[in-house]
Parts: sequence; C-alpha cells; structure tokens
Amino acid sequence: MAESADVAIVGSGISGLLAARELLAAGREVTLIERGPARYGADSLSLDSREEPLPSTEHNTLPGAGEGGHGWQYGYAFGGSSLLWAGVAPRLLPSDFETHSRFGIGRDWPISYETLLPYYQEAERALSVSGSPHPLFPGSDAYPVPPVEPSAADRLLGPLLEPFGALAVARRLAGPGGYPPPLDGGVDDVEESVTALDVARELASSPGLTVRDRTVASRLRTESGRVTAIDLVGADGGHEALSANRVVLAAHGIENAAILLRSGFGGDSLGRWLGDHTHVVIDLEVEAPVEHWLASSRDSGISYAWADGDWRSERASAVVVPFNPGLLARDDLAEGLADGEGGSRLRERLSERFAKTLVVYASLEDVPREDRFVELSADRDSLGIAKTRVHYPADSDYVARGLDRVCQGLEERLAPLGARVARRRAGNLGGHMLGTCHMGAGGVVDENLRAHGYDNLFVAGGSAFPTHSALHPTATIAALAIRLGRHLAAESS
Amino acid sequence: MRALGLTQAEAELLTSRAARRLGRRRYRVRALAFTVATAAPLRPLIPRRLRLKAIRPLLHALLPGPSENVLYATRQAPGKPGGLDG
Repeated sequence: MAESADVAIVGSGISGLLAARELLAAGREVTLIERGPARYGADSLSLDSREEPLPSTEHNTLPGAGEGGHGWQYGYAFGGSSLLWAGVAPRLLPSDFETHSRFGIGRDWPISYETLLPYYQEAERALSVSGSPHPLFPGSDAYPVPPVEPSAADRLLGPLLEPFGALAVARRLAGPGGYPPPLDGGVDDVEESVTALDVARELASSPGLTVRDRTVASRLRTESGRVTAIDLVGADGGHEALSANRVVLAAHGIENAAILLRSGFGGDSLGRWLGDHTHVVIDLEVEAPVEHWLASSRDSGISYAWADGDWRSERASAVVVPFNPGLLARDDLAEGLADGEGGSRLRERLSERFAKTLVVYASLEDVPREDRFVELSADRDSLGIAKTRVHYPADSDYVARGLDRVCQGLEERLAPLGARVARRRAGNLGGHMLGTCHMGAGGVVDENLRAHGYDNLFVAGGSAFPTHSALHPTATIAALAIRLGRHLAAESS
Repeated sequence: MRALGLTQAEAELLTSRAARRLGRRRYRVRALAFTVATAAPLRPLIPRRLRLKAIRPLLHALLPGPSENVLYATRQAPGKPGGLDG
C-alpha cells in the first residue's frame, strides 16, 4: 500500500467537505479525493472555467438506449456540483420523510424531520442561508442570515399563493442585493454565490486534511465486510491504492453508484431509483403591466400551495417559485428574428409581453422509479475506467397530473390579475442526482448512511435519499453530511 | 444592431460588453453568423432551424442576464431611469 488514511472521502462538494469539516474539528485525519485540481480561490465560480480538461475529469456517462440523454449537470472540479448551485436551500417538509405511510407512494425515510432538525440548523449556519421562519418547517426560527426584501413578484403573488414564504437561499450578503445592477458598474448579475469552496477555504489550513486532487477513485477493494483500500487512478494514468479505516463516498448520485458497481457491489437497489426534480417554467400573461424589479437577483419567494396534502397519493407535490428577472427576451427575440421580424417593432412587441408576463417555475416530485437507473457500460474512458450508462425515461403521469393541477390552480388563484398560463416549458433539469444508494431496509445504506454489510463504508449526498420531495435537496444533503461527520467522529473516538 | 431595434448608445454598450466577455474573435464569429442568418437576401435560403442556431449565440452574448434584459425590454438602463442617457 502506498498510503493509508484514517477517513477517506471521495468527492469535494458540499457533502464531502461538510463531513470532513466535522471530522477535522474532532481532531480526525481526512484524505479527500477529487477528480479535478484543488483550487481554493474564488476568481471565477463558473464550472466552465474551473473544470480543467484532464483525463480524470472526462465525463463518462452515456444515455440509455433510445433516450436523448437527460442532460445531467455535474462537474469534476474542486467544489463539485456546488459550482453549479444557485444557492437554493430549503428544508424538506416533514411529510416528505413519510410519503409511504401518509400517501402510499414511494417509501419512508428511516429518519424523520425531527431527527434531522439540529443538522438542518447547523447546515444553514455553515452555508450562510438566509430565510425566515415558516410554520410548515418546525424549528425554522434561527436562520443565520435574514431574508432579503421580497421582490415585486413576491409581493404581488405571495398573498394569492398562500402558504407563501421567503425562499431559503445561501448567500454571502445580508440584506437586499441591488437588482438589477447597473450595466456600467462591472457588477455581476448574480450576487456572490456560496459554494463548497467557502467550506474548503475554511478547512484548507487544517493539519489533518490531505487533498488528493486530479485523482479518480476507480474501485473499492473489500474483504470480509470491510473496505480495505481504494484503487486510485491519477490524471497521468498512474495507479495506486489507498488504505483507509473508513471510506465515505460523497460524489453525486450517478458517481457514487458507479464506484460501487465497478467494485462488484450488487443488490436490488444499487444504482436504481435515480431521481431528479422536474422543473417547469410557466409564463403567466396578466392584464396589467407588472413591476419586475427592486428585488434580489436570486429568487426570493416560494409558494407551498400545491406542496402537501392527501392528494399526493394521486399527483405530484410541487412548489412554485416566482422568477424575479421576469421574462428573458432573448429566446422570443431569436424566434422573431428567424421569422423575419426585427427592428423597433419586434422590440416593442417583446417589451409589451415582458411587461405583462409573470414567470414562475414549478419544481415537482416524481415517485421513485425502478426503470430510472445507472449501470456500467462495456465502453471505457481514456483512463480505462468503465463508463456509466444512465437510464432516465420520461416523467410519469403522476408528474403530469401534478403540473396540470398547478397550472389550473395558478389561473384560479391569480384570477384577480386576469392571469392565463400562456406557455410552459422545461426548466433547468439534470442538476439533482438522487436516490441510487437509498437509505433504509432494502436499500444500500442504513439510517447512519453505513452500507449494509460493510462496517466501514458510508455513502453520503443525494444518492442516499429514499424519495425526492419537490423541494431542492442541498440543505438536506448538507444536514446529512454534518450528521454523518459527527457520527464518524464519535465512532472513531 | 438595427435588427434588434437598439439605439446607437445601447448597441455600443451591449456589443462592447459581449466582446469583452467572449473575446473579440469569438464575438466576431457570432456576429457574422447572426448577420448571415438575418440578412434579407440570405435568410430565405437558410432552413429555420439553422437560422435559429446562428442567431441564438449572439443574443446570449448580448443579453446574457437580467441587467441586459431589462435594458432591452424596458429601454431603461438599470440604475439610470430614462435610458442610457437618463
């Protein structure tokens, strides 16, 4: 063995770094394995500029046969997929942990909202989450950063779309961000993002931290119910093994499953039940011009009007978020230009549409499905590692019924504005890779994220989610990581 | 930039920002594709799908975010009520 580690963590995103943070604080030693190069600076937070073209960062997923590919969004760079994160960090609803016993769909989590509550609160402190208390989320009275001012859209829609509240968002800046920022001031449109790099910089000087960057964890070696070593492949193609007392897989849902599959792990659940949220952008035409501005450059409000109820046995839960920037003209502009329109007349038409359009997006939860899964391909990447084939057929009717109800409900509730759903289109998809190593009996890991049958292997991140909720997963991923880190620290000591 | 209905001042501001963001060479490539796809004599000869493919990259560079969008859609520069000269 070339090296050994106390705790080896694969992946440097929110999950891996927050678990590391707890272990380091308890005096443990952590070796962090990351495919991309270790860069702590925040010179640019865009993944495009941070993901260097190395053999270790080759994207090696393939779509299922006959599928166009879901457009999975992830990155192999220090900070992981947090570099793609918009900072949206709500908790899950208490009922999201009990969908089987309450609604007869999906499965229950082996832990409850109450179990996770102290870790949610710590995650919100760690990620500088702004928010405000809401009765749907017990114990939400201690957000570390106050909410930003409601946007004009929040003020208009909020009273009509109750229950409505401040959207929990991780942000460095307290108070309202200036929006829209001046064009000649050199200010980015988006307030500074919080990413895993904020945590990484905090940990960078920890004496117990070793970072193995530009390195792929290709497979785990096991013996008698224990992981004995991780086979590593460097960007230069060199191979070595890292032994470890404990191993945490904290890559995303596709990658965690791929590592276990490459290692010969099996079982009915491994790689199966892959989930993502369905995001649908809905344009609402209203009778009178609306004010879009004087708001945060991040979305700042959220409606739970279609999030929870006994009807979840029949149709999908959904949350609805007003899109503060309003209608972005460029797509309609392109269509108009392609059809031979142009000039002032086209601009006037689009300006009028902009003024009379409210844009919201709905995030919907599909039921976990066995036909959405990850498997190994016979193809290999440039480092000789098996590629991953990801099967993700189209949404079920359960989602379609949920979306129809949201659109119908929007028109009903927004009747005072004369609102009409003018268009619905696919929003940002592929950013949440959930459920391939789910918690619980019949799953891959137990309630402490320990792999069934292996006493020193743990799987963190969204891959451990038994169900997906309609709400964004990062706060829950962070809370689970902190809980895992503390559990491992206590176990180690 | 007449195709977009921009004033001279708006066009100068948006194109200079786009060129700075993309680099002058990449900006020129996008601008050329846009011009070919929207010019009256050539446009009918190009399939609509390809026209869109040629048009979109420049628009994404000129109107990348909410600030540029508000200028285009409201004729008011953010922070400067009354337009760029206001």
